[in-house]
Amino acid sequence: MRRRRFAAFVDALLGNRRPRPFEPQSDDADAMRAAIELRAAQPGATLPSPEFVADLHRRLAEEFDERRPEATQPVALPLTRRRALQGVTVAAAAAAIGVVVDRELLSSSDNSTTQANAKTLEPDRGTWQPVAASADVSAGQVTPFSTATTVGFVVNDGGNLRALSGVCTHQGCLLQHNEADGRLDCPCHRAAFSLEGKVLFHEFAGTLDPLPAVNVRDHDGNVEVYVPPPDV
Amino acid sequence: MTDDDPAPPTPITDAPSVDGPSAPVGQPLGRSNHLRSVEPDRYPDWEAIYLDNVERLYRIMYSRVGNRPDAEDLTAEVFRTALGPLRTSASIGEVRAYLLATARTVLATHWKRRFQLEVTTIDVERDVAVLDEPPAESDAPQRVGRILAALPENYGRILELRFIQACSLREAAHTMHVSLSNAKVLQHRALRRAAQISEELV
Repeated sequence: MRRRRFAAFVDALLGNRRPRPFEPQSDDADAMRAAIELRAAQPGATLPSPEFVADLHRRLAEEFDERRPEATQPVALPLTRRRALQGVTVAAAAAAIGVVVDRELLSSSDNSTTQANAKTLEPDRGTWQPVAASADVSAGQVTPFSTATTVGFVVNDGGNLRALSGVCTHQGCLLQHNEADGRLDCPCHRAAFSLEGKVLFHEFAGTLDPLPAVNVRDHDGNVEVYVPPPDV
Repeated sequence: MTDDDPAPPTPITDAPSVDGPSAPVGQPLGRSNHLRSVEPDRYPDWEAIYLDNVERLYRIMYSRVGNRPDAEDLTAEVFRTALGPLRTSASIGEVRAYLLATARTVLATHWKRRFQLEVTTIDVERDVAVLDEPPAESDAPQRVGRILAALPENYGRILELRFIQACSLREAAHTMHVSLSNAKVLQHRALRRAAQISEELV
């Protein structure tokens, strides 16, 4: 009986279901602890679903605040790496790039507006802004840039310039250039993008959007990107 | 509540500090002087507390219960319990310590209520570091790999079939040429041994 109930406990974990209660012995508890550790190590297992995060947000709002979360603006969160863009670039970048920053936390349960595929940043009111001297972006080089509203990378691909967003499309972490592997790595979760912005791999159950491209040009000795001005 | 239950956390009022330094809340981005960490050490409102901590807390809860419905319920219970007494004048470090202390109590109650003993626990001092600064990349898969590698062959095999290859117990029994009831015994023994190895790896 005990073995059967223990086996049912393991089955429940593997099915991501709530296990039925039983009275384990102490050695059962050790085995249960190991089963939990093994289950939680599976890629993406410990990530909350966007639906849960949004639903709990709504329920807490009903309890603690009359404001509905849908009506609230992104709050001024502490500037960790994960949140690095929220206070500075999210409003402009998310609106302009179509990138879904922190979608698990900020989106509603309606995902219809959060499933943008690869896009090019085309701000309603953009300006060309220099981000590097042309001479400093030699062939094969990947150069990070930042403006008051956006961050990204300029890639000189055999003399052809390309620029793309430097923000992970999962939760808005700033991507890091992995020079050894020629890709852009997300420091928050196991995800990486190619230097063309394509998703190379990720650990999530759903899809991960590719990186939006940024319009770029070589103009008067400078590499310029077309992005929202600082005062948007 | 028994003597072994963790004491409920003391609600944060205007106490100047709980313990430990404030959480590291920002890092220089190092790309441009356009972007600078402003390192605020207070949350403006409850929503900021929620948004900044929900994923961190869920991860901790999931790693203690191993299934989504319980992790969601317990995470929700922590916020419902903690957000009432919390004052946003508390520092971020104080808020996180309070959330974690609440989580410890909620988790302990969950195990006692459903299984009569605490299978997993939360150590506030140890886990607050995870809450403050979650690792960029979990080492859990590597750690599990070390555990499986350290097991006797048939123990490692059944756990690999079950937890890595997602085989049912019946499929695992068939693959290993043992009866279903032997596979149950093998799984239980393998997990007990895995628990010992896991403790030794800490």
